[in-house]
Amino acid sequence: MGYAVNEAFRSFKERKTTTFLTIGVTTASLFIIGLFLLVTVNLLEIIDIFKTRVEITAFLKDDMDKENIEKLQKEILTIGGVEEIVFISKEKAMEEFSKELQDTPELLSAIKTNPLPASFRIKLEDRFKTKEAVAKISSMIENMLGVEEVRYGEKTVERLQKIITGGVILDLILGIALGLASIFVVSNTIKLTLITRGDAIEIMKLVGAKSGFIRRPFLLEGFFYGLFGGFFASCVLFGLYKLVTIKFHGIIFPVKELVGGIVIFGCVLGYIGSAISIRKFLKM
Amino acid sequence: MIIEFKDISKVYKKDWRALNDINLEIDKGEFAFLLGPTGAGKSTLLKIIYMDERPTTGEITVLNYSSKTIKGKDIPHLRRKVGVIFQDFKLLSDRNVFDNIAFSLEVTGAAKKYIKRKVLEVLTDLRLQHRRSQYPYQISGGEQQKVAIGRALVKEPFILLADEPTGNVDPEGSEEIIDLLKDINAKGTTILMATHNLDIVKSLPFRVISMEHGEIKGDEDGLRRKRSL
Repeated sequence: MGYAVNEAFRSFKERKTTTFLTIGVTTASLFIIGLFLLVTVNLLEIIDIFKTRVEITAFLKDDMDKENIEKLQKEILTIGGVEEIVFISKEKAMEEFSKELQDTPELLSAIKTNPLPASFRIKLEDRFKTKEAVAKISSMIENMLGVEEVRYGEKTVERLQKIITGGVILDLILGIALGLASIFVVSNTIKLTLITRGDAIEIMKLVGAKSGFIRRPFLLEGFFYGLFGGFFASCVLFGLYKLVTIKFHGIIFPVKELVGGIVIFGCVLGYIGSAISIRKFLKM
Repeated sequence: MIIEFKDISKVYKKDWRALNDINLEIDKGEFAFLLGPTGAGKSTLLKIIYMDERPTTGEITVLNYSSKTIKGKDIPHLRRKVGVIFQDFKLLSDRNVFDNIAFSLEVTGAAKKYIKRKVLEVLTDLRLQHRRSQYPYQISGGEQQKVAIGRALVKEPFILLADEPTGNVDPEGSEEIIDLLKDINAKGTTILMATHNLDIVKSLPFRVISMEHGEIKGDEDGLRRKRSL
């Protein structure tokens, strides 16, 4: 192992330009992957924010007494997918409405009686926040005794579903394409560094070096290319994030996960890239 | 017998026959020349010995390794017992003389102390101690070939294959290389040297295997030649 480490570092020292270029290419590839991951993390966050907005409001008939309301509440809670239910009394509804009309007191004073119905705000479990499930639960509630009307913001749910489906599919395709492209680019760059050392590999074979012995320093080299590339890509990405957040707030950068992910992916990428490239040089 | 060719043919793409029906035996401790013009098949024959190429038909046996049964993982072991030197030296340009020779032993996983002792021994034998810290591009062709010989010798090989070893060396250096090979052979190493240089062959009383168009055209043994010289 000591020999392999020495050889890997000797190669870095002897071929500074090649090393610099290979680390540069690896950094660029990993930066693009990192940028993609950053966008993905933030896309998921946006989806989460949208999801919290999906809720069903069931307006109740005016003639419902306390006992009936409690009975209805229990009945709604038995529906699969209902996570939480909050009762908004007529008075509470009026109070909220008054707050909204604070700036136009003339409108508020025109209202003599309380026209607002009592209601339930019903929150659903995440996996039931699809267009079909929300519609189904809404219609079940609408058919219950004492329910006047049900609203759930059809447009929001529909839009949300489109964003999630479209976004996730696009994200996955992009992720796979970028992953494959980076393996291709990095392994080919490493292959170029190997071609310049074809003679050395031939001599190693000639004097009786075993494949593992020849391979090890190259694998380590690939690993280090990935390690350094991952580190530099993370630095550039973090710098870019800091710049962007001066103007746009609310972007998430999970430092540990993202930097760790990029560096580990880089190491694996370099190692695999090297392993793929060295294979054809070692045929005996 | 240390090397045995049995009905060996080597055919490359488009039916190009590099070797055709070669039958040859080389004894332990022998010094033999492979004489022939460029393209006669000398290098292919040597490559088959150190199993860089496998024969298309026939079988070669080298030090009990047979081309028919040898596995890929055994080839490095064979090559540790067979030294090879080339016209273009094939030295590692990013290592100095000492490290080039040491490299042969490093790949075997030998201890550092042992490597150092062996390399210094070989450098002394080759009278190259003063060049040990220099890089291949800083020394002459003859000296580079001596380093290549040192790299082969440090493994204490049973066989030394030399492919036109004097091709890139001036006459003075050539003489020194040949003397060195004679000394190595005198210590018991079998030597097979490919060359197209008739003058070298004529001056030495060793076996001469003549090749042309991938076939053996003549095989004159050393004793008979010794008498005629």
